[in-house]
Amino acid sequence: MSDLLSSRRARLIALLVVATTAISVLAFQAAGESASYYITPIEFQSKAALHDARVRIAGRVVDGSIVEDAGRPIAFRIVGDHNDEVAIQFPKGVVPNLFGPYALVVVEGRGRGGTSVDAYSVIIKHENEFYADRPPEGSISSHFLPTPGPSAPAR
Amino acid sequence: MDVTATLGASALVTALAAAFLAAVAATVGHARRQPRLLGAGRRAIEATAVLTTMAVGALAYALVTNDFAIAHVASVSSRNMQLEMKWASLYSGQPGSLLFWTWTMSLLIAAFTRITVPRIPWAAPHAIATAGLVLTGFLGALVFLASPFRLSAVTPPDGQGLNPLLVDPGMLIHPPFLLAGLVSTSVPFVLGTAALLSGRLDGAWIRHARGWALASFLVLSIGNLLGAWWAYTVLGWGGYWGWDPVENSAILPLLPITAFLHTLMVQERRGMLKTWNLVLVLAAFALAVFGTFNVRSGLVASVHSFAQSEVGAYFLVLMTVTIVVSVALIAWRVPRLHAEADLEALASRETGLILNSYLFVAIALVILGGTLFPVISELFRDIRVTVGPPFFNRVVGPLLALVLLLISLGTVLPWRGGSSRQHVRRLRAPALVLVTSAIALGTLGMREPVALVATSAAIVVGYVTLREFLVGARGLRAARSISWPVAVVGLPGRDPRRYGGYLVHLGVAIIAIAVVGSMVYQEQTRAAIAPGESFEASGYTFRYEDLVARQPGVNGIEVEGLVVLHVERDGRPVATLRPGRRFFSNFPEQPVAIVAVHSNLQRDLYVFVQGWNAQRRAEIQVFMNPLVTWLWIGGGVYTLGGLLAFGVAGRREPVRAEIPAPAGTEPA
Repeated sequence: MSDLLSSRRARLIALLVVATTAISVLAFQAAGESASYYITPIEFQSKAALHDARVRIAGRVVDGSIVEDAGRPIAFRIVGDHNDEVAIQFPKGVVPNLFGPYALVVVEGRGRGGTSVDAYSVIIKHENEFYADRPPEGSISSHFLPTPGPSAPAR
Repeated sequence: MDVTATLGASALVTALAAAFLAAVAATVGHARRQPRLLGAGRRAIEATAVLTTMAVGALAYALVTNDFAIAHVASVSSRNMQLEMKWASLYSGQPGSLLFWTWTMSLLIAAFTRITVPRIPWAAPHAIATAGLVLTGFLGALVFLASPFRLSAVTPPDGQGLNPLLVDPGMLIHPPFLLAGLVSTSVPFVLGTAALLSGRLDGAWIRHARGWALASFLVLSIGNLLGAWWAYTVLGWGGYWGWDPVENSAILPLLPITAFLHTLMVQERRGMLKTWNLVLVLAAFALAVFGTFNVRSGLVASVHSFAQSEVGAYFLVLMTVTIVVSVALIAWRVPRLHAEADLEALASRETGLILNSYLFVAIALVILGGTLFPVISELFRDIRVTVGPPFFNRVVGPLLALVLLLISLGTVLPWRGGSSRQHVRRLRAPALVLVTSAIALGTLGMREPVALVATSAAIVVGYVTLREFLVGARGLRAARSISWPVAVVGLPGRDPRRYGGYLVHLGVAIIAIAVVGSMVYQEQTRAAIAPGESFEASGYTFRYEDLVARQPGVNGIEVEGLVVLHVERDGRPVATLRPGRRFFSNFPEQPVAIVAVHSNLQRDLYVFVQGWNAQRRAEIQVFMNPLVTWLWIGGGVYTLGGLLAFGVAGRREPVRAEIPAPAGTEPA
């Protein structure tokens, strides 16, 4: 096996090291600028550092909280696992499919004083379901299933 | 007792036993030098494929006959679903997609056992044993953790039906292609592992791996392209790639496979990069398993993920085992992985291909890092930090531009270097085209540096491809008098790998131009208007005629509300678009957008409705996306190139001179 430090190899390796450094710097910069904290409503309310930060909050849309303008939802509230609610303002941006009461959403935006979030994007999150004998508690499906009539016993 | 469920579950258990026995038989047969055991192992693999097919058949039958006693059937299907959507139900949900994955894998591996294993007698036992173990791993999850045939405690009268978002023709082809693509990384993996186990680490395994890797590349690429198309036409957010964790998982295995297709050339020609090629095929499969783990574990929240189950932990273990075993095998065989030659010059094709691998690995690490960022940050700082599309666009964008630059200049670099004068001669024209394009684009108003580099490089790729085809056709015409079109079409037949590759590169360049156009120059307009009113967007006038209702009555759709829009430009009618919203009986307050798209070669007019009130006042969004049609055209060229690259180079039968046999002897 020839000398590892033959000048050709050394030059190629040096080039790759420089490139890697450049890419890493770019990556860290970009990460810093687009980082947002992925939290729950209760964390948003309780941690002061997050009150005006860029955040990503997951929660369920509260039935009856949706405010509409020309049929398009512009404000609503979401609730976490501990009955903790956060108000969301969403005047611009694309309303995702399946948005509505009980939808599990992930809101990305900037906090305002720890009580509400100005959202620039809202996406729907897939339900945490594994088996669906019955839909998960509190989900869209659990609220809108057709009421079962007398059903056949399991065989 | 539900007969269908029992049949299906038994088939799966038997398949599990068969896969495990295949691994045992191959191992014992090799150790004790008993070829008949090896034959039994091969047949066991084929049996696994037959048995999983039976299981899929059972599930399909249950779906078609509305057997809601089976929990999975009740969760993804309902009485009023159309038959073709039930095909989509087959692979929906956790157990369904896992069954589809395992079925496709068993079919592929059975095909591999029939086609390739007979040609690699030096690694046949190792390949069968590895294949058997891989299948055992996945069948284990199916049988013990996520059985599609589990019965519900109470049989519901009707099923829930498919998630409304999935009720679309795109759902009929995108997931199968993508799942098949991810699964297909298993064959190069088995070959690489077999090579490591058997110790035969020269070019032999590469020769056989190439075809399977190409197939994997093609199917995975098509799966991702279909995903982008579906996201664009169905999901209604105006884009085709969102850097969602599951999207990222789908593209990750494609990167090492593509790199492998390139660096295997270096091993074939020069005997270099042996370790690297093994690393690539092992990494591709490991990433595919990571992908399936990611989707099923809820590790990173995604619009796709099934989330939170024991299956997630199981696949984490499976992935860890895969990685640990791969690393151990390579470490064990390092003494046998010497390069046969050295890098002779920096400005050579070898260097170009090494840089190709470097860039693809860099992109893969960036995507992986960005996807796992929340997990890593939670480990270190106890709070989850995510990075979104801006991160990926900012870092991966320049890397992709560099890849394009490499494509444009790298294919003219000679093997083993060559003199500086040769380099100048070969690189002069492409470099000239590059600089000229960049200046021209800059003058026309393109200032963003990444866009400039990418677009100029794409233009050079187009130029180089055209030149190669012309030069090749001219040579063919000189050899035999045929017309230009026949010569051009005949080129891939002469050298499929080369010309197929050129077309794939051309496809990539076209896609790059489409991506730059649609991302950098997109225009968005929002308007809230009442019937009779109109608004302007990107030079077009949109007039709201009325809001109409439509009741398809199938697939759980209750009603569709459509906004009828007349589109005009400079007073001339362009189209009548009907964007709207679809409401489902089971989910009356969760509508799904119906996107209306008007496409031509220059731009897409992408129109959707965000809502309307009782007075029919509606909020309408219009995206003007330039050059999107070229994305699909580029995808088509790419796919054609990939298909052509499979071809065996045209062999002309030599004309035999007739030599009369001596009288009284047998004819030859």
